[in-house]
Amino acid sequence: MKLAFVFNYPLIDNVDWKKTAIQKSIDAGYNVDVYYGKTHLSQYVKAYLTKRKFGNTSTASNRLKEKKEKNYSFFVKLGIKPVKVKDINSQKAIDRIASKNYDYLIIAIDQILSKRFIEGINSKILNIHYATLPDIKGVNAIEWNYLVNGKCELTLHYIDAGIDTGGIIRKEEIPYDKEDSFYMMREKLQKKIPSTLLDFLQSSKENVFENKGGLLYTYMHKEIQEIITKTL
Amino acid sequence: MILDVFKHKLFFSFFKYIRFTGLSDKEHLLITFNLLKNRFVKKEGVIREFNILNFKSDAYCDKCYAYFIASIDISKRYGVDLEKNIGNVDLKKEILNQNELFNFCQIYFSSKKNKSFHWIAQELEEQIKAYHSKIEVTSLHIKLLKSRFDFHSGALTKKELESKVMKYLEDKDLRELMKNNSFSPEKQSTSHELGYLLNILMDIFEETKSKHVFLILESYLEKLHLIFVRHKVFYSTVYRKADRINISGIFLISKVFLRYTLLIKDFRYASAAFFLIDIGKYLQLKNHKKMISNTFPVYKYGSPFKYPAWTLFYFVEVLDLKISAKNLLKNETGVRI
Repeated sequence: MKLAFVFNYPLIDNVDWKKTAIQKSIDAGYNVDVYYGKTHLSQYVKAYLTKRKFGNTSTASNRLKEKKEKNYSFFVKLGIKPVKVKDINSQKAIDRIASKNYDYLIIAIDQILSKRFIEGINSKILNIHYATLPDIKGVNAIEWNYLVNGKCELTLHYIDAGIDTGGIIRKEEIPYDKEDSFYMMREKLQKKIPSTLLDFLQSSKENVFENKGGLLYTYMHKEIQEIITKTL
Repeated sequence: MILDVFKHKLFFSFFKYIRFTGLSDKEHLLITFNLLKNRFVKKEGVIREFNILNFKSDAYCDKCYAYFIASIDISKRYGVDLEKNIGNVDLKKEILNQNELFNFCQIYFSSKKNKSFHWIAQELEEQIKAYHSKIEVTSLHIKLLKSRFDFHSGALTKKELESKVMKYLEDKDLRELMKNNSFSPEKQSTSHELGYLLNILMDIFEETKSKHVFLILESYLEKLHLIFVRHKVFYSTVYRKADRINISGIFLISKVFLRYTLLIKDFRYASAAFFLIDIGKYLQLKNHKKMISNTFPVYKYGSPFKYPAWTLFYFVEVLDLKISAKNLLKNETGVRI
């Protein structure tokens, strides 16, 4: 099976689940490539300012403070040379990915894929959403899911042209402690991603559930996050 | 104040990346109350606006008198008394056009809510009745307001009011709604008039508890939330990006978002409103006199170079509602919403 993982920001990416998922995929005998979008410095600055504007830069800064090995160098050590593209939606990136005929693309990026990308790459696209679908679509999914459902959940789903509207493959609920912050809930949720992903890739059955209805959420205001965090 | 021209140009150009934020809600409320007390609320009425050169308008603002009455109880909750700043305002005027009808209806409804001003509501009821059938009303939100007045004065039953709302709004999407909602038929309506319409619709729902009215309101608010998800603000044109934001408009939309949150506990709307209010907080802090312009950037069409009283009154209302929404959230998080 040929897999491609698509991430952003190669200079700062040190998220553990990506290392584990790719290591496990290689161990399972899959051919793995990695693509990195948003490689230009201005894109880092824009991403920082956007996160700052909407009230939450703590996740990224906490992660950077940990000074873990960057994923890019880890992948190189594994024998994968990540491909860097400035814009994943560009025709150049689409042509390059399409030419490899991947079985699955696993996406973990902070941008919307264009219709041109989705239709042009000749592969199924997978995404892990940090809330239960179809109920909670959009960003700050952990926070909204906690507020609305009182749970910490993830959903593996296909990507189509809408926002979190592709068919649902599987959902998992992750136990959390009362004292957990949203950052800790995110960490617990991310630890679950590699096994969820590999279970799906290794299973022969593919039941896809409809992803209709639900509500689209956007950034949760900092003051709301602060109030509900106090109750965690 | 004139520095606002440059500041607003800069803030608006980098709107996508500037973090709009301010002091606590209570601190902004107190700043605004003091501003209203010291500069806007006079014995003869409420001063309509100040311009960018800090000159006050000659005219007093009728509709602001309505907002002043509505703000009195809010101000008392925060240890300020606006009431003693104003004398007996002369309201014995002819109602000549739909805008004046709007202003008088607004005063009527706010005085009806405040016991100390009931006598004004009684006087105005006759005055409005005498004129309102003679005035041509083209703007949808004023048609709704007039129907609400008719319901209050006994000219319409609850069912008739509901039918009127359905007649005016059923099958009209946001774009169509905005085509017929301007104060002046020659001008395009903005988020300001849309904010009025939605709040009037919310008032009508609260008074009638009509399921049909609720469904119409819900569909507009859901659509508006999708627009917010896309733009993270409402430009003056509402459904598309534009070169200006109507601050009064975003306050009024925030107001209906917060009222809706308090009603159905959907905090998506509160969150959107909090972000919109932050723009007002930021602009207030950056202004030398702590005033808020009606238009952002201040030099753009839609009260250019003006700092009206109504923007401050709306600000007071939304900050108070924001505090209520936060209290609701604090009390509700024990139980999943």
